[in-house]
Amino acid sequence: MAKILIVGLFCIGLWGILAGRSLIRKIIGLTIFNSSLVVLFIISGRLDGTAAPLLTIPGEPLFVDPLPQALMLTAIVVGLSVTAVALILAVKLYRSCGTLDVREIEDCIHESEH
Amino acid sequence: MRTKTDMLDVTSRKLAPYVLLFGCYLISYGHLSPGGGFQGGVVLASGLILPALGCRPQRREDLLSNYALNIGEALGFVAFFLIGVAGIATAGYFLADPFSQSDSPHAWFIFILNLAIGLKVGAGIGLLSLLLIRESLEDEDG
Amino acid sequence: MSLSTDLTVLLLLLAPLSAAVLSLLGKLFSSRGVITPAFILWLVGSIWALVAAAPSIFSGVALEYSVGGWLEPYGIGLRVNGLTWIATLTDIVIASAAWLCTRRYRRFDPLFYFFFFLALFSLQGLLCTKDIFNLFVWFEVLSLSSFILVAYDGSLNAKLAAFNYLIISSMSILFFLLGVWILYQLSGVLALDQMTFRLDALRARSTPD
Repeated sequence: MAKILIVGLFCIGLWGILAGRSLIRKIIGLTIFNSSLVVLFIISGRLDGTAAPLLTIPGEPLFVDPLPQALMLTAIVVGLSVTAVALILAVKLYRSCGTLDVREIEDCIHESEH
Repeated sequence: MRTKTDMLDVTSRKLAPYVLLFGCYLISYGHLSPGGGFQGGVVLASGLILPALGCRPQRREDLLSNYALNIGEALGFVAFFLIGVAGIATAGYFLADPFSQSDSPHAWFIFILNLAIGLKVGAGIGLLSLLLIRESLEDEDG
Repeated sequence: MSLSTDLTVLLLLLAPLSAAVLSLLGKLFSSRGVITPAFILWLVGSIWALVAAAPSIFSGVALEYSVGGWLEPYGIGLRVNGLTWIATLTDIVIASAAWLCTRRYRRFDPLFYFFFFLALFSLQGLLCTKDIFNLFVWFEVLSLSSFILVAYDGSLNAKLAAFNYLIISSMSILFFLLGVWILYQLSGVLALDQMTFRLDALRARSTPD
């Protein structure tokens, strides 16, 4: 079930980036793509056990692998900063051209050059 | 012109303190349970974004000041940096617990680090979102 | 002139970082005078570290450093070997040429040089890292500062180019992350040298002869 979710998110994200013509749609696609990999890492770390990786109780049963969680925390932070930069660029482009469509922005640039 | 309804205005203002409280809970229990500085900070930031999106524009300006968030972000960074350097000065490496006698740091040391990270992340993400929201709402609000 | 191993590796990373901090201070106090001192700080620091590392490198011994005193399975390791040394030298030559170019082309403000030195810092970290996930993080810091450098011109064309670059680069780095997941599942470690070792063992076990 989780595999279907991950593959689905992966394909939706990739399709959003490649086929979307709006800048915002591309950014949303990128975020969904990122989330699919986060889910992939977290689920693969959960295979060992289900307890939280905190050594509070002596003789704790198998707990989850903490490394993928730490890695994904970093990946989420990195993805957040990439999304912020992308959104700021999109806002600036929208301010100048009045549209979010990539092709119309390209036309707008061509017009302003001539 | 699109206006914010009363219901949206009141709900977002009444709900935001509870979101902020939950953020503080996540930050202060980070050393005992899942949570911590970054997660709690993001929840704090969402408590700031909620009134920014829901409230009427003039109220938004009253509630949230960019200046305070700027100060909070800088304070968080400086606090984290100072704690790290204190580790270099006393124990010889970055982020060492200055008061710990053994290898593992005290729990309150992690708590203080979580506070600094939470302040930095909450103020930073809140400021980022508020700037973006203001930029995009300027046309709408006039 | 001789430095200890730890200080050499630290100096290699701290030289561009302190140049970036100096540029940021120049931005805060809006003074352009810090640009040349920051460049000189970076250049002298990096070349000093390279000279200090040279005897050990040329006798074939790599410099190792564990961040924060945490040893290998828990901490983050840095290593400077011969390849790192040569790549750092190339990096210094090209970045100096680029710096001279930016000075000649236009008078950029200190914030531009903050991102310039931040890019150099992450490039240095990329060359020193021992860990495949840190490679991903350094790549991301490098590309984030490059997006801003590309868009710094402020023209419409530059912004669209930065956006396209951002989308393509972030998408490819996510495929890199997928590769990290596959390698982590196969080997169970993230350090590059141990991963090579374990993958070799795995290949030896799976070949039928």
